[in-house]
Amino acid sequence: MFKKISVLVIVVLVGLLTLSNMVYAEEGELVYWSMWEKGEPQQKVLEEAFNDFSEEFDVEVDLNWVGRDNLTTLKTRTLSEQNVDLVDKKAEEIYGALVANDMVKDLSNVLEMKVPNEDNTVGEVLIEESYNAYQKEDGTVHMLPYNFITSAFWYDKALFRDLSIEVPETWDEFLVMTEKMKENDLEPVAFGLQTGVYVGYFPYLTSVRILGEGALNRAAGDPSGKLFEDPAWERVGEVLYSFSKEGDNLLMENYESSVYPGPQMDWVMGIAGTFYCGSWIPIETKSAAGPDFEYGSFQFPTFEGGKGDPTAVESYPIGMSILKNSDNVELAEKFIAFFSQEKYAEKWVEVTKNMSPRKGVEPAPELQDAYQSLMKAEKTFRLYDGVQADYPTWYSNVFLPISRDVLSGNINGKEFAEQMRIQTIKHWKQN
Amino acid sequence: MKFKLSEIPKYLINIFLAFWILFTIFMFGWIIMSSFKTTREIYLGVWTLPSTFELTNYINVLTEFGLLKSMVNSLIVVSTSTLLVLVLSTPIAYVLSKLKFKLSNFITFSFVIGIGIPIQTIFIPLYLLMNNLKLTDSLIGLIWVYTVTSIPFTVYLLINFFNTIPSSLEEAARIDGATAFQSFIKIMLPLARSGLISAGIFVFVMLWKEFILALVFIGTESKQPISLGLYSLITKLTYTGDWGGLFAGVVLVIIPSVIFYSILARKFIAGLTMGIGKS
Amino acid sequence: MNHNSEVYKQRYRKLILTATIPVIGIYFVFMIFPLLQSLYYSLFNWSGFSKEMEFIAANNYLNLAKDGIFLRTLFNSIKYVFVGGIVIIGITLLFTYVISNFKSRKLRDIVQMILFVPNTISPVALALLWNFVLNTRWGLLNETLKTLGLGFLAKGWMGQDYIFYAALSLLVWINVGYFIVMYLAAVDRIPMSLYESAEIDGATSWNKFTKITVPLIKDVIETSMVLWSIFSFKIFGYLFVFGAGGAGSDPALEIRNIAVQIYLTGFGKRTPINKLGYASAMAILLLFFVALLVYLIRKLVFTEVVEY
Repeated sequence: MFKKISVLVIVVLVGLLTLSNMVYAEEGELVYWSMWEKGEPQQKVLEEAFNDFSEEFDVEVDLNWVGRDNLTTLKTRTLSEQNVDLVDKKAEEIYGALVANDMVKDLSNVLEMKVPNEDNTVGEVLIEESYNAYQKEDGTVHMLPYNFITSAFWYDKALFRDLSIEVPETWDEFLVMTEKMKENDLEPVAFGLQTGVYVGYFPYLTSVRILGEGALNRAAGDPSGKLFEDPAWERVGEVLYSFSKEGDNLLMENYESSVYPGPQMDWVMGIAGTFYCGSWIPIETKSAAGPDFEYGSFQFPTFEGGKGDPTAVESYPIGMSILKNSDNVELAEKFIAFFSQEKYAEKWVEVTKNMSPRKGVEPAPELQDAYQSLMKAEKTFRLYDGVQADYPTWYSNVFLPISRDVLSGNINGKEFAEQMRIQTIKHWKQN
Repeated sequence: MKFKLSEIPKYLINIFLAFWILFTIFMFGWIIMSSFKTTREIYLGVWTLPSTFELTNYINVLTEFGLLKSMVNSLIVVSTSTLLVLVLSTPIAYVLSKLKFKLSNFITFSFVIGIGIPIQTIFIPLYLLMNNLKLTDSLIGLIWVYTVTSIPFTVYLLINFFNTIPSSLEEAARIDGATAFQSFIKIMLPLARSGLISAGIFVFVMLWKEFILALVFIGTESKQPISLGLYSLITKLTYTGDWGGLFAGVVLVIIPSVIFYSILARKFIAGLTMGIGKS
Repeated sequence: MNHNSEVYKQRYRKLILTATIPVIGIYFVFMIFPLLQSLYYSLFNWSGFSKEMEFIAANNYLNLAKDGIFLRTLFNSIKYVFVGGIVIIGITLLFTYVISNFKSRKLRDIVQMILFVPNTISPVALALLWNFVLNTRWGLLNETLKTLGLGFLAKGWMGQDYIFYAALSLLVWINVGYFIVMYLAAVDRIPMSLYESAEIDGATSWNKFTKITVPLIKDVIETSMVLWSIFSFKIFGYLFVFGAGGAGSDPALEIRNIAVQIYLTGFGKRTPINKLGYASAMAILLLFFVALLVYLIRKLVFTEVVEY
């Protein structure tokens, strides 16, 4: 009996081995590990481009529509030495996960490459501001974008017209706007305290305006905490405190318990007057917006005496990176150049309703304002001032909790600055 | 200190229970109703009826996203895994339950602890191992991984079950001169048959829901099981803000599970009662 | 059973070996060995992307002891076990009490089935749906309360103060249905004669429940305690997607348990922490706590399998 069972076990194991259908990319096959899911508009455009590429250059492509967890499953692939050539994600994540661990190569040489079927180089057709925030001083850049996102305060133009509200540029004008909204029974700013993505916005943006681009990043990385001693941090804290219900109460009524998709729904249904979010929000809320809703946006207000460039906008590119150990580096570079063609940029804008980083491609009307602010921008800054990529644990364990505290009104401006200093010191002691 | 627990009136608990049941039914009713609404309607009010019982949400979900294939994948993978798990777990559960040999307590305890091993802890080493066997991104590999990770729990469940089958029947067989194997196969298994079928159904439902292993081990979209399909669907639809479509997708996935469960409910219930119910 | 006879031992030797060795082998190779590897990784600083690792011995463990976030998730995990355990087992017992007294067997089966249904559905879907139910402004719960004139009870369920209980309510809703089936089946095996003689002595149904039923299903209660302890430490799907976690944000700190924190640390949701060595250390600790808890439960809960 024992023998019978052992034989059975062996047969089963052998069967498993022979029947397994392992998918290994073959030589010369370009492997793409995508952040998009099958069926998403972005996936359609990319798939078409890859198929065209495959035809034009006679190469095999292996497209993997993994989804937003692509960086997680990428690990299993890289560790087991399976070839992956191209991977994409938002720049902050690529930098935080892949660049920080030296997994992807520098793409500055791709900027010099000619765009297939066109006369210009990649560097000439891409809007510099779409990636230069991520470019290091030596000119190296480890990701090249095919999608550009920025953030702003979004509003309904029709509503603003009806109530004769003016689009604010400075903080004082912003406060005037919120007053007018409150008079008209509108909750000024939609917000969700329990959603990390939103919580990070106001603190980092206020710091960029008041202390300049990169200030938060430097202060986050300073183990002595000295950079947080700058009195301007108190001012930042006070601004944040004024948003809270203990301050000037600019946030929507249930902001402390609102979670995605609550805030954007409340905004698009006309309960809140503005909503600070990335430029994906028009397409995400289109199906819920009323027929008269007109999307418009304005940038985060400037502050008197602020060191930040008043025209600066947030840079949130989504793009491709090439893995260092890729078998097909040249092919991958060629694809990046290939995808920069005008026809794909136009298709991108048309199908996905996002902005293209390519010069001269007009976006959908909902995104016009955001696009104009990008065109006017003389400087750009990284999403969350780069702290999510450079100091992810600090971002998660120090920045977000303290931001939540001040935005809920539990601590005031002075305490905000104090806490940032103390917790940063503590954080670096332990890490 | 003496606490006197005064009698809790049955009617109070019954009201609570009725509320619980109603809530559950409402939840599902609301999901179904919302799946016919447009996104805007969903937010306009909980109790409003959809303006048109349009099937657009369903049509979109079915045509655009490959849910059907993923259901087939799940069926293949989960059924096979369940069978394998039973084949592997039953003999050892029997042995650990009935035959007290030197290490049996220790082995039982290590299986119980095995239930507690979180998948995130082992999936990278496991992936690397399976990769060496060339079994990643394959349905067969997934079957194997599902089987192996279900063993500790199934063994524990079956040990509880075997514990209640009276030893007297076996002893009688042994006195009559049967070998160990004969005793196991001819007497134990038939008695345990209903329990095994029930355990199988129980494991089936657990694996049907499982998604993190699928996420790690399956890369090709055509090999996705339904749990992964649903997860992708949810991701896709939240990014386009199509909440009506999301509910339609959820309903499409829930319905087979609920129907399957209702039909097999009796056996199911018996399965969970292993070691507890009448044998 | 006669453990002493040599003949007996011989006879069963073959069966024992065939039954146990392959399975233990498989268990070891595919679960225990990866676990040991995980233990090995916990001694390193490692991102998980490349084979490069930095040996730091027990530093991960020392840092965990000081890590406020980890300690908070540990505290949450323990809260889920105890608060959740008491609520779930309490409600399950109360339901057992009334359901076992139903006169119609059919009603009992239907109720059991409805209670169990949430267990058959994908955790991700349920967590997302619960999100809709508990939305402060639009949610099913608050809207219903307002319709019933109980608007004052409507709260910000997903806010810092209540979100733990919001998440717990989802877990309770699911797990009561799971355990009720076990408890009811256990009640089934109690002979009617015991109840009959109690009735003759004038016992009320509550007395019958507390003095006869509960003591006799004690082993099942203990099993459910063990299972819940293990499950609650391991719960991942429901909490990962709950609340803000649905989109690209990490689940709120108030609801995170260790299993969720392991994933966020080792892999990250949108924040690329990628400290796989550190996460492995967390996982080893998780197992340690589970083992400790299981051991304590088995020691402290007095059980005796009563035979009829």
